[in-house]
Amino acid sequence: MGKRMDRKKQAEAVAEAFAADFLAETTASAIFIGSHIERILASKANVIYQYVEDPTYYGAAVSHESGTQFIALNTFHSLRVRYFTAAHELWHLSEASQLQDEHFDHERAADRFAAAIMLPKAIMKDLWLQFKKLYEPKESVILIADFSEVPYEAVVRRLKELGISLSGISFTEEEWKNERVKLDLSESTLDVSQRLERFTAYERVVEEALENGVVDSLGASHKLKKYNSQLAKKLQEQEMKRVAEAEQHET
Amino acid sequence: MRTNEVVIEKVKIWLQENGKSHQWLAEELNISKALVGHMLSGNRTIQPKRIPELAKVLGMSVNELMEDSSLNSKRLVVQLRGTTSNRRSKQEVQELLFVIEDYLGLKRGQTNGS
Repeated sequence: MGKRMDRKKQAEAVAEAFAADFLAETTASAIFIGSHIERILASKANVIYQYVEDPTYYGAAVSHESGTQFIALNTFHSLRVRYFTAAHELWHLSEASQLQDEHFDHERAADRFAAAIMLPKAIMKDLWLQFKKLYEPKESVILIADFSEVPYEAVVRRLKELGISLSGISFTEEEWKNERVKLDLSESTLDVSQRLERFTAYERVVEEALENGVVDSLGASHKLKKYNSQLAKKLQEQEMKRVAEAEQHET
Repeated sequence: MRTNEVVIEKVKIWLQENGKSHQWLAEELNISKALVGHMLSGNRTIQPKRIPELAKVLGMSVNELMEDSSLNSKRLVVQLRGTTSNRRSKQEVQELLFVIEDYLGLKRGQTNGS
């Protein structure tokens, strides 16, 4: 038991240290990264947006032996949860994760890393001190969650990690939405999912394969059906037109 | 993995995921339940003529049924965040892996061709 606890603590300490380095390299000043996390992720891996109606599935990291990395994000979840998942996955792609031994608790580290880069220690402490004077704790949590574009539960966990006592504040994401209503705060678009299915790198290779004659229009249309339905439809129409013209020519 | 083992594995997983029994499969194939039991325990090699019949019952192509997915999984390492808790989401993850394989194949083709 003791050993397990040590491992968790060790994972958290390592993740927190690497998060500080990451932020120093990535952002010029202390800011909330928010949705920008997806751009950062896309610079390191092929990001695939999936829409899977399963609340327990958040996404996946897939790596090929050649070193090519893919990160799938389930857009069924709210935007906040999606951004936090992206930050979590960034740990698995980082050099820091490669440096650890096999006994290292990577899932724990990934969650701590995500919290540390999305909710930087210094800003969190400053904000909390400011908001404490102006609002009640629940309202402050909601405001910070909106500024940082992360799940409410992640904000509460982070504040506790930073030594801020929050007795009696423990809600699920759904319950936090109700708390907004009670506090007369407007609805947030971050609580809604943005249905999206996209795999940009795949679109590019399929288009290139089409140009080079490796696949025909119908083949390309079939491949792109899920990720770019408009283009798939256009390709299918082109092919039908081509066939119709060829038939007319023959008769 | 030998073809017989690959097919057995696929059929067992499919029956489990779809909540179907040996009895059900026996009726679909018009053979005895005992023979299904022998086939799936590996005691009796699955006859080649049964492969297309099995593929049809499972709604797969013969290639899909015989393809050794353990070879694919060696090339792709998959780490899920969360779990897939329904049949549809499991299928979505499988489809994602097919698309990634396809992407890598097309990409390889372009690199070799250039």
